[in-house]
Amino acid sequence: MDGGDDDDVLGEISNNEANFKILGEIHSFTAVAGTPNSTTSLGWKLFNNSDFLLPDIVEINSSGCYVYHFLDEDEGPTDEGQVHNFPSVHFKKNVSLPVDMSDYEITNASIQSLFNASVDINVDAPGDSVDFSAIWDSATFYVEIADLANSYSFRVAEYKTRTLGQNIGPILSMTDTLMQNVSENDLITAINLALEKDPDHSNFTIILGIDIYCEDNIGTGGGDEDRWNYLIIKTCDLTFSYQKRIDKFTSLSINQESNSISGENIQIINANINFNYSIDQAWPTNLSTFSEIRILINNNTYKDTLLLSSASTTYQPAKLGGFEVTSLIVKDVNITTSIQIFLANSFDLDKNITIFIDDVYFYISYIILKPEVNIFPLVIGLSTGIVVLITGFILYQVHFKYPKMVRKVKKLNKKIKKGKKLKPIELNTRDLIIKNNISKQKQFLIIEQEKSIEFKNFKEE
Amino acid sequence: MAKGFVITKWTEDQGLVVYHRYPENLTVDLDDMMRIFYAHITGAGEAGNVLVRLEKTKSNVSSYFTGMESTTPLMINLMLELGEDPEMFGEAVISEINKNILQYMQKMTENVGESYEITKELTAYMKDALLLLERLKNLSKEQRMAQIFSSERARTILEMLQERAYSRGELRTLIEEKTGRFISNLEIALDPFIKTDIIKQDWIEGDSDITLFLLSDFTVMRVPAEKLIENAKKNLPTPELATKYMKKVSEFLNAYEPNFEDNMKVALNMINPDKYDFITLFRERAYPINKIPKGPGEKFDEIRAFLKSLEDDNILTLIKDKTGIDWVFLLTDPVAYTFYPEYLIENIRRDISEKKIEKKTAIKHLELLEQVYKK
Repeated sequence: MDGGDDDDVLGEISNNEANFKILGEIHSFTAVAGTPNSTTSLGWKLFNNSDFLLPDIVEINSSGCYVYHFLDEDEGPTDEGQVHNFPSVHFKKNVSLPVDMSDYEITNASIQSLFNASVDINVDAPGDSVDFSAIWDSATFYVEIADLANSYSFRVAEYKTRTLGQNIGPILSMTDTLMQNVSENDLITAINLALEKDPDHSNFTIILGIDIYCEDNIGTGGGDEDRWNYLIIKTCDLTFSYQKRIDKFTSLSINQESNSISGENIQIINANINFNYSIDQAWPTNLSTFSEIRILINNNTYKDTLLLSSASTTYQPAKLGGFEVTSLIVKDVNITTSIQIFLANSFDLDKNITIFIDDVYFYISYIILKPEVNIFPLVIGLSTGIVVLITGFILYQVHFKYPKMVRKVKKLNKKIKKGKKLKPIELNTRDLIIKNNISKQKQFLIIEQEKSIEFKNFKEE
Repeated sequence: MAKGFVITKWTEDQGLVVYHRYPENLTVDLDDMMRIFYAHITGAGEAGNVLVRLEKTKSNVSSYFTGMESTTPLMINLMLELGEDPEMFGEAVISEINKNILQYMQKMTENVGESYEITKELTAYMKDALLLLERLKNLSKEQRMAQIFSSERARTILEMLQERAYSRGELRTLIEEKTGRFISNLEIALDPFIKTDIIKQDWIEGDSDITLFLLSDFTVMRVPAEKLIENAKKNLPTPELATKYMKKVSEFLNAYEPNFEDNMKVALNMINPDKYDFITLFRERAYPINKIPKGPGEKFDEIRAFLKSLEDDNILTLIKDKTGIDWVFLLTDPVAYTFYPEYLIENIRRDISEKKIEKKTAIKHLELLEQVYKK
């Protein structure tokens, strides 16, 4: 196999037929479910959030990740209670997947986190009568996904209270409230990024966090007090599904080596190969349109291939009359024939697919003759021609194939990558692009008017 | 879907009272209304808009307040689902609805004897407004662009990204600073940009935030109505009408120089679903005024009003045929003209030379610009 991933395929010969298996899988995984440290969500531990002080009481109990905090600015002989105005706590759990996820693709994911909160009326929220205010008191509940070293973390759900503690109402509690999630795509990206950092691509950390912010809202008559009776992250459910990622350029072959055709006076006049092929289910064309069956002679690929999408569930011949592969037969070397399944792009596959090959035949016809013609000048001429063609082809592929604008983009990108000095590039400004379009539209109108006059004159004639 | 409208008024003796609601079975919690009221009056109590999230009724409320200085302080509350944001419909549309509701309220104050009839009219208007909001969620690509153009916040986002790529966090901060308005949900603000393929969101390795890249640009403008001109070239609908039409179009477009006010006028016509239906109809051919296809339940007077407003904005024009019947033509075709933002290539060169952006951001942006270029 050249390139790709040999874990993605399995080849075997049984019942006198070759079986090419492409190995797909689908799994669903529940990273956490329910209340932290209940039987369905074990392994949560408590941590400081960086340098922030912890709230007064933090614990994981039967209600979930629990916090109690009371800010009393007057606390202590020198009002040192003020340092407790922005406490925070993290609850973490490491999650391990049973597989190396670099071979899999997460196809869907969901997260749901509930919290409960209760505060005293002294917690201040917009609308309350206070001496001064800016951003008010608040508690922020959140869920983050991080790598094991916690060097990068991505917030995937959050809820910051805004009205909790409001005197009108009053609003002093919140029951079983859902945090607001990021989009499913962002959630998947966060899990992928965390897994990327892990050498085994199978471990990451879930962080549940509670930040409390107590603003100093009292100007006179003593210090501010904010009592947070309880802030609880009650449940956190994170589940996702993943499918096997079949890597591009994965290939699988059956090979046969046969003797060489040797002798100066031998001329090969025809080589023809054919076989029957079938598939156990329709090929998922939408996932991989250009995956194909190839024929290789001595590692040279024959120009015609069979798209896997053309395979049916009953045996059919690869080509009526077979493939004419004479050009690939070289004298004096052993002839190695391969039939190869080639997967052209990466895709996710949720089940196995088998391709069958049977009744392979390969005929070579040759004649023996005496070479008399001096073909040296012809060879030189042809070689020069080929060199010119290849140079032209390469220049076209790397340069002229692209429109002028793309060439400018590519050139600048190359210079930036190499750290070269960058000269200003002459391009149309936004205003000029719009102005040019208006001129074009006016020009269109003039041309159409002229055509209209011509048309009328013609009709009158 | 928007749930309905609640109009409340504040009086010295009664406090806050619900004045009118639509639909009639819409649940209104007076505590919730007080919360919204407080959100308005915190500070100077001036006229303006707030967006309030109500947990209890699981609603977002886009609320307009006439201010404590007005004769009768009124709040017009548009009750939305939790996932909805007024920006989804465009601030211009919501302002227009609020303005019209206020006119009904004004009429009611001035003609107390007719208040029953006016209330009936107001109810019918609110019903239509909710229908309009629902239709605004299913805009075409060019209408979404017009919506971006007509919104100050979206326009500011576009202008920022015309300069360079920004992370979502940076963009949010800069937009809030520039517009002085809090962005409650950046996802919703970016939604029309993503749906129209104007921007792409992507991670750059090593960054903790997603970066936003402008990959296509547009402006709203007028162009000749291509199909109608093709028809006129063939003397359609009649030789006389074709000549008159070409003359009118030439006169208008030769003098046409786009400017912000005119572009805004064009954009507002495009985002109005009823007017947009007429624009797309007249893009195909001209119609005699008495043969314009009518929608179910549409009355001729209503059609006439839409046509008049489009004519006033120089989008439609009426030309009389020999028999004296008016034919309706598209004078100019309002379009969102999209183009490749080639100027960004020079911006990226300038920014990297002046160290305003990181190398990896420049490389990523150039790679994306290379991928989207079509010729």
